[in-house]
Amino acid sequence: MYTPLHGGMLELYRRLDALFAGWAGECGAEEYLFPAYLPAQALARLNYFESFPHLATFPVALDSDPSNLRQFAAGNASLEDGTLRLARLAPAREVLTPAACYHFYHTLQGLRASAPLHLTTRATCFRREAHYVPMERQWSFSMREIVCIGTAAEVKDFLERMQRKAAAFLERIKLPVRWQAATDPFFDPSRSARYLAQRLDPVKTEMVLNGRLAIGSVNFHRSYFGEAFDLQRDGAPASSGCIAFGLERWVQAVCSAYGAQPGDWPLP
Amino acid sequence: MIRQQLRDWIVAQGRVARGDLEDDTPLLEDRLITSLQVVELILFLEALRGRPIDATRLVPGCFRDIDTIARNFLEL
Repeated sequence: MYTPLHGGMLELYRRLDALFAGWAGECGAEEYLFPAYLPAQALARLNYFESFPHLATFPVALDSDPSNLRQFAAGNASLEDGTLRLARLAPAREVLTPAACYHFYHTLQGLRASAPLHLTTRATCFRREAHYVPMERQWSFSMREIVCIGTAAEVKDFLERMQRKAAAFLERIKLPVRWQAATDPFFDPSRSARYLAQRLDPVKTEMVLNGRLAIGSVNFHRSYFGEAFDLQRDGAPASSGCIAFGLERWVQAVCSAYGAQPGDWPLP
Repeated sequence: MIRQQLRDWIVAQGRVARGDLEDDTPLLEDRLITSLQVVELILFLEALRGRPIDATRLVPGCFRDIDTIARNFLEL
């Protein structure tokens, strides 16, 4: 199931994304465009499959052996219950992007930076949800991220500036958002060391709309990605941090507050 | 001395030199203890103090540095 964006909603999506991309431009962030997937090996370095197996989504293809393809073709002429009967699959080596910024750490592996790096991208992200709610809980959604890689002080300064900017904007457009400390949605949190560590040392602050829905977040990764991907800033493992915006949720938030008429939106 | 044993354990994790570790050096914040080592730290503290620690009742900042850990968990 999915809901396409078109008309005014699509215009709102583009204007919100342009606004956030503009904030990225003010930091001198370089824009990247990534494919829909990244190597599973890159995520394995982050213990992603142990921490978030319930969210992971994979691009898979059939084993290209002709008899395997014939078996598949014959078994799926009409899908009465909507379910494919998959034949033998080729080995899966990729994962559909679960968070936009992972691409940067993987792409910049081995980085030796002598100044802080600012980066931005918008990616279609995939997280398996237990149920579907249009614009709120979608298997595929859009995320705009602005990322800083540098020393801990540089990243903290960047995150504070970004949070102030986002907070000022939210205040100006009067969306009922509160900033709340949060943890990532770990699988089986009571058995997860990383969940416990995030609880003891909060590194994630969410923009929570109406007390129930996160429309964005500010994340300080410390040197976690720097160590995992050998990113260095002046000879030491780099710190990183990002601000992330869930664009469909933002569209929904602005529409709920101001309606579907473009002239009513309090946007630049 | 119990505080020295804690200091030795942290140095043994291999992420800080003994000379760089003060009693107020941030442990999680500076990643001297990684998230995966937190559980081992809890087990070590339980052994040191001879009593269990209820992980569900731990609060942010309770493992901030050696001073904080000593105050929260090792002063019997």
